[in-house]
Amino acid sequence: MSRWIVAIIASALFGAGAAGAGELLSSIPNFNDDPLFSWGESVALDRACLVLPSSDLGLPCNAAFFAGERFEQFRINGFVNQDISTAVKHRSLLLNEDHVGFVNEFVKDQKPTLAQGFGTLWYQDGPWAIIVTPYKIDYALKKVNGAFTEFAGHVREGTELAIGGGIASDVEPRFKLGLWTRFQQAKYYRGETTVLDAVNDPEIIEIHSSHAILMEPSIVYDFSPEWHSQFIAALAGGAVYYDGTHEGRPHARGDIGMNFAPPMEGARIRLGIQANVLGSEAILRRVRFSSLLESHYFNLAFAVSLGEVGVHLSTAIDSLVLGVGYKLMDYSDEPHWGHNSVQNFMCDVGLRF
Amino acid sequence: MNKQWASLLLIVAGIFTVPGRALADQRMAALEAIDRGQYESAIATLSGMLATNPADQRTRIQLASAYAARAGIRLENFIGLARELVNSSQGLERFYEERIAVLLDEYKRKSQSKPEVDAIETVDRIYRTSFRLANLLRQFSAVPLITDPSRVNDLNQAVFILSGDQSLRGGGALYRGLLRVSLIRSTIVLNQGALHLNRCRIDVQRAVNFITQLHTDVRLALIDISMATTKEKTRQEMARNISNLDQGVADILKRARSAAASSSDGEVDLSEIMVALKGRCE
Repeated sequence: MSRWIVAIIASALFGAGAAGAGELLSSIPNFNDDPLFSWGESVALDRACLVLPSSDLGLPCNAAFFAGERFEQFRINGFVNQDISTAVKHRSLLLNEDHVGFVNEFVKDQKPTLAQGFGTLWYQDGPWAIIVTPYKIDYALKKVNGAFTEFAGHVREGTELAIGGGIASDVEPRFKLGLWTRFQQAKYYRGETTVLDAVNDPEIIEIHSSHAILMEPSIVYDFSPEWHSQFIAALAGGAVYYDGTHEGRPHARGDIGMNFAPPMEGARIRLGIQANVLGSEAILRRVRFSSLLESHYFNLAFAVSLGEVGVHLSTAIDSLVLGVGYKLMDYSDEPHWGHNSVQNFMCDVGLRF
Repeated sequence: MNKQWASLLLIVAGIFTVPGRALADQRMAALEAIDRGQYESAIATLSGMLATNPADQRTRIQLASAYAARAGIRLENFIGLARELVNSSQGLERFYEERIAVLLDEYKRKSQSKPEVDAIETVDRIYRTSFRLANLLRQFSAVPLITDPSRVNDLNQAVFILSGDQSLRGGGALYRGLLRVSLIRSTIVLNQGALHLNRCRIDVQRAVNFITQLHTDVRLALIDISMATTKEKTRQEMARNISNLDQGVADILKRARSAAASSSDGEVDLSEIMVALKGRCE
């Protein structure tokens, strides 16, 4: 009986993605669902960072990990990927409502493109933190059928402010609770149409604005003191307020996972496994394995999933903290994407008091 | 019992998630096959999908595009022309009024008394119209010229499929109009030889048939482009131009038939025109 229940839950959770969306549009990433993670270590780990406490030079993604923290630190982060120039060029045409210019430029581009870039500042004071993202741009474009070209596009630029914190339960100290509250503002186009429809009526490519408030609760439960093992559950992307169109709406996603820290001489390593539920990616892409190595000289975060690998290295020189990261997203096994990989680069610099 | 309920739930979950996705995957695979030049498989898939749901405009256009692609026509060839036709009413005026001027200018300037001269002038207009139109279309050098018979068949098939749905608007109607323009260009080029200008004698009935066919095709292309545009002013201009074109062509045909009737062998001697044009008769 139990295995049937598991099968039903798995079917409902993992099979729920993409229904109702446009066929072409559903084949490009939906950046509206992007998690908060916008600093070096978290970008490298992606959603796996929800199930790992941060290194002593990083910031936890899961607000429940803030419980009991005492660090005070400040950081500036930058993130770009290889096609950022295309994104910036098309963004400028689209968001300034130069639809004809956009279609002209767009017709020239043949390959599907994924691009992202953002800058972030964050400040942590013990069990709470504030994150400001003054600028973030997301871009995805895909065309099919050169005889009657159809395209799906996503161009979004926005700002975000997030405040989060965590506490341990008074009744059961092994339970930690956390909450991020995110305030988002964005201008975006997300849709699919044909090139001839866009040429015929360029205003079909409508630019929208949105504001959203997201509440992202999470829990951490310490269940094995020997290996410091923890069970984690987190809900992200749940909008309690949203005033944009359906296409720009963030979708709630849930993550579950666990981590543990096997005993190790001279360093500390923590290993984690995370699975995303309520998502739209292929099932195997929703599971990530991650590790966080903290040594005397540097910290190394590493995560891998089917089609994605990220690594971030950080070190501290007195109070100065420096970090660099790299993330490779491979889409070659994704149906209908026809695009092999996207390379992402990140760096961060800041102070730790 | 619980196991049965569980099985039922799994089936229901499958119904809601799998077929839509499978259909979407099938469509995407067909469109990507077009991009890879695997037209037969794309045509087979999309034909099957259209047979299942004939009212699906999107599939209809995609199937037509697979034929058009096999004929050698890709949208990149058309994009400049499409933009000019849809966005520039000035371009449209030039496109049609030049043709109307060719049709009517001489008609207005000269008064005819003798039936023979009348017929020659009519034929002269037929030539000038067809060549002017050919030159005009040649200006749109991006419009692919399809002359290979099997490709012309594919192009015809694409237009035929799109003609199966008269409710097409926007990009679909524009696409049909553009394919027609390509077809017109092919028709003109393929029929130029049939007029045998250098023989200095013209088979009037053949010329009438040619002009009639051309008129029908141009008219349908105009209507398609008119149905595509969202600009009311452009639509009104096009309606006016279609009406003028109808009138001009009707005049020509009437005079040409009259010329054919007055000639014993249905042919008209064009040597005078050739001399005027500094040409030589074979």
